[in-house]
Amino acid sequence: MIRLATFFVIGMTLGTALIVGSLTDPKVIIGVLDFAGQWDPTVILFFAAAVTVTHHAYRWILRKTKPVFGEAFHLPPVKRLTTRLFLGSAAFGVGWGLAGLCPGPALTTLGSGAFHAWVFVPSMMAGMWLFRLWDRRRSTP
Amino acid sequence: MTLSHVCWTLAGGALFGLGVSALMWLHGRIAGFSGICGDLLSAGRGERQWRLVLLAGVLVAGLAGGVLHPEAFVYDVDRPSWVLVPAGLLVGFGTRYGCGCTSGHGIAGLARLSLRSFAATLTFMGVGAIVVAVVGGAR
Repeated sequence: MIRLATFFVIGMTLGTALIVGSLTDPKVIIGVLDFAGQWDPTVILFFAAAVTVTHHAYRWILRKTKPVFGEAFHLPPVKRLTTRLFLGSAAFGVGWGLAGLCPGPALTTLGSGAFHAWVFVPSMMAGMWLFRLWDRRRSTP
Repeated sequence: MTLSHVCWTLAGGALFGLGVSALMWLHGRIAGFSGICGDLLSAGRGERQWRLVLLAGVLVAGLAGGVLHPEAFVYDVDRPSWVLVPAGLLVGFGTRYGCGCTSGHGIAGLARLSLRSFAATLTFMGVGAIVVAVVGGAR
């Protein structure tokens, strides 16, 4: 029970952080990509603070043998740069620049009831589902 | 950009970092929204449960935010509404194909100095900037 409650508190923390940092505002997201227009450094400031905190915390956490509630740390096994990484990130970049929404802020906005997230998030889930279908077909000859 | 905006942004970023760190410290997981969402479609029951609970926390934060500070969720950008559908499809497909989004690669990945995450972050920011240069800024 305590284990599950911590997931809820972490989810609330992440959502609240995105609201406090104005990352749920699509103007802010498009603003950091708008080098030719009115460039807005808000996202960079948010990233700098988040990465600094996480970097120092990870250095301490990953020296431990296992997490508090789990058996092992789940870290991505792949280290190489792959075509897949670049193509996927590029497709994400197109959608991100078009809408000014990425998954975290979109999910938080869904909770607020705002209409645009109720269009965007189902489309995003459909995109993930399509990927799953395509990936399965690709891997089964 | 006002000093108060800078302070709130930095506070939000630091709080996000604490959430990301807590997920690794307590459960050994990378806080990546696209992974947490996408794995809902494929994971087994036990694996699905924690993801749903975490997402419920995110939604409750959004609900509270919508009541206390609705201005934070206004879609006031120079884009037609229909764009949300292809954009959502691309974000969903692309984050799964590229194994991560702004949280997993951009924050957790950069924090552990992952080369893949640096490459992914540069790619989606560069491509996003090209798209904004072509279709225009927020207003």
